[in-house]
Amino acid sequence: MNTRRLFLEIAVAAMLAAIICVNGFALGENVSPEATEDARKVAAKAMLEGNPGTVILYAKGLCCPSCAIGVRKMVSKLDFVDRSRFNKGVELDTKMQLVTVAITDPEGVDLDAVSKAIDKAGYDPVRIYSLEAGKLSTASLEGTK
Amino acid sequence: MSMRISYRAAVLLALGAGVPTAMADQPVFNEMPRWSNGWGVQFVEEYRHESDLMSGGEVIASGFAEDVHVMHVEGVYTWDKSIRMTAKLPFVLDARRELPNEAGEKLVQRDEGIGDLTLALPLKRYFNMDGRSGSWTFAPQVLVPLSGDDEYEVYDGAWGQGLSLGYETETHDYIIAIGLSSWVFEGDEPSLSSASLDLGLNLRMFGSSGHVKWETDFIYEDDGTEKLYVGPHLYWKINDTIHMQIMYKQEVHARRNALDHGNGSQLKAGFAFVY
Repeated sequence: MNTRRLFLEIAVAAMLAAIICVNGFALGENVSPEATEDARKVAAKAMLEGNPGTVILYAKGLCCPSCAIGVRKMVSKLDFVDRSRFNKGVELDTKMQLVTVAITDPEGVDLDAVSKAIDKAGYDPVRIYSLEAGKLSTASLEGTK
Repeated sequence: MSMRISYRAAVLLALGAGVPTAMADQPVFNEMPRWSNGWGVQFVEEYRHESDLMSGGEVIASGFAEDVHVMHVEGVYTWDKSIRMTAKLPFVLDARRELPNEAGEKLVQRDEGIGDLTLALPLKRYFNMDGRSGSWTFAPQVLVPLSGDDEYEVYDGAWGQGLSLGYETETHDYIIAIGLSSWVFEGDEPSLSSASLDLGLNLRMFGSSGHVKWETDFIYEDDGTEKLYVGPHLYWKINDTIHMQIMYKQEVHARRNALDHGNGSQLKAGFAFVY
């Protein structure tokens, strides 16, 4: 068997294996078990405590670091975002699928606007996390976009 | 043998056969922009070397190479996250191929100038899951002949219509992408089908991110030509606006119907700007 033939057969075998893997992936709703809601709450609380004047959003599917920059591009345009902090006011955590937004005024946060911005960036806004009297508070964003 | 080569070389010269390179890849780096009203441009420099003259699956003559140096200028506009428009225009900076003439001596032909324009309308269906995201893509494409009339042409200079289907999914750590394309061309150009499989790992270091992929491309033309290219691909996000990639591919399976150059390798490097 010559080397090229061997390469060809390995490549074909790898292609078949990958197709099987893709089908396996498609059956699993949650392939990143470390990014559970409990884990997200822990990460969000730590981020909020360390960065006053922020809100955090869970954007479902936000796991590609390159595609996710659209979230920063869309969210950073909103009026209530403090663009002097983080990277243009937005910090992305693609492991937990969290978007941390630095805000100028807690009363001025427009949930509809931020949900639409995340939707336009290609992701699904699910919920928002904030700190109220030191305790983590969550509110659903589904239906707001 | 030399008479056989010369005769076939003469046929090849008469046909002015080029190397079909229309594929399913889309700017920017098959990645961006995913967001509405996003746009980007990329500049990719390609060096391709094919070392042998082949007929069927056999090397007819070694030492008769083809070397192609192309600058690809490509742009994309994302109207809505589900609709993109892309344009790809190659410029042949320098191309040369070696053929045996009737006396069996080496004949060198050259090409330079604009290549053929590819316009596409990728329609995307994104899905978002907890810990995974991805998309299905359906992309009608058209090839507009713009290449010139040099001694030979790297690009075929024929109208073409293509359809591509793609599936891509990505977790925090892994990437899998599968693509299928089919093209038909006007005139005598053989139709072309291609399949691609990319397997990758996401990387995070130096305050930024990127990925490495192992890419496999199989191209089949209905005249019996087969090309299987495999190799690594590195993509890196320098910042939100500037991105770069470098890839190398080696042809590990080659079959040519008519006498043509084969057993190739390909090096691509480029920058992209996304807004």
